[in-house]
Amino acid sequence: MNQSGKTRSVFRFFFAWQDDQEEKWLEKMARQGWHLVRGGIVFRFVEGKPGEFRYRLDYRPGSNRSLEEYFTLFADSGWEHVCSFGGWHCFRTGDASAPEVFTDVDSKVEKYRRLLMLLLVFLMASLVILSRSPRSSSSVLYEFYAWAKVVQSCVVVLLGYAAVRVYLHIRRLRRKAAELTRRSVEGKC
Amino acid sequence: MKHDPMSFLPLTEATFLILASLASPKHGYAIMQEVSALSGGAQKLGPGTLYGALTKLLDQELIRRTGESSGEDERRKHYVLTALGRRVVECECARMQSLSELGRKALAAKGEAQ
Repeated sequence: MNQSGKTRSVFRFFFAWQDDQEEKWLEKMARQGWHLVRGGIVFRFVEGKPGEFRYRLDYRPGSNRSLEEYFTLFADSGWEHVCSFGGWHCFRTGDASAPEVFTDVDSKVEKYRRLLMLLLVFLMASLVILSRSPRSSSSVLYEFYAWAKVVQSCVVVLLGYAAVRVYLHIRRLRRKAAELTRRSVEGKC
Repeated sequence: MKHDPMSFLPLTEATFLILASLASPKHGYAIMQEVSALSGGAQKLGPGTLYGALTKLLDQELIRRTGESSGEDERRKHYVLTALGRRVVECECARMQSLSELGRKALAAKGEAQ
């Protein structure tokens, strides 16, 4: 990628239900010569030759060691593993003949279902914590708990919102799949 | 019943082709090439889709790891159909065949009535 060594960091909230937009953003950065090195809350780029790349994000929790076969499969089909953060794995390819990462809607839906499961587990855990009322007579502690409740409530709302967005995204994908099936059958008959 | 082949049907197109390609042992990338060849290039299989499918099929015991790996690299594990997996492919073939015969017969009968 002919790196000049110049780097740049961009702070960006990563919204899991619109990861397609994140991919487009990474592709735009690559066209301007900024190539991703590390992701997460801060995205780190290194400057290099501007180029056309496809970026794809997959969500698959688990240790990178247990995913060795997974990374090999991507490498074999022309996808370079760029970085991983919080269960997300970022791949890129400059090879137009490399197949798409997900070639059917079912596997794309599965990806969001894995994400949704995790969100629901966190949501349940937060709700359990929130519903427990601490017994304390100390007024300092009482105030602390009150603030903790506010923060926890915000977390619950945020998680709930994320879960709904991911769920709606899954529904949209399913609808699109039905449409695609209809069209492919029309073509054959 | 976990080991009733019928309980796995119907298969998605991708799953069906992956299973069919594993009639003989293959590693991941070889499966992608075989599926593309079997379908005359019509069905491309991406690494994300394939990895998810392999994990699921291992879990359902329709395929198993053979223990051997490609000489140069031991990260490329080989997979092959289990006896159950073979039965599932056979049942799916039979199901699709009887469905397609049924469909054509029904359409032909309707054509005569008109």
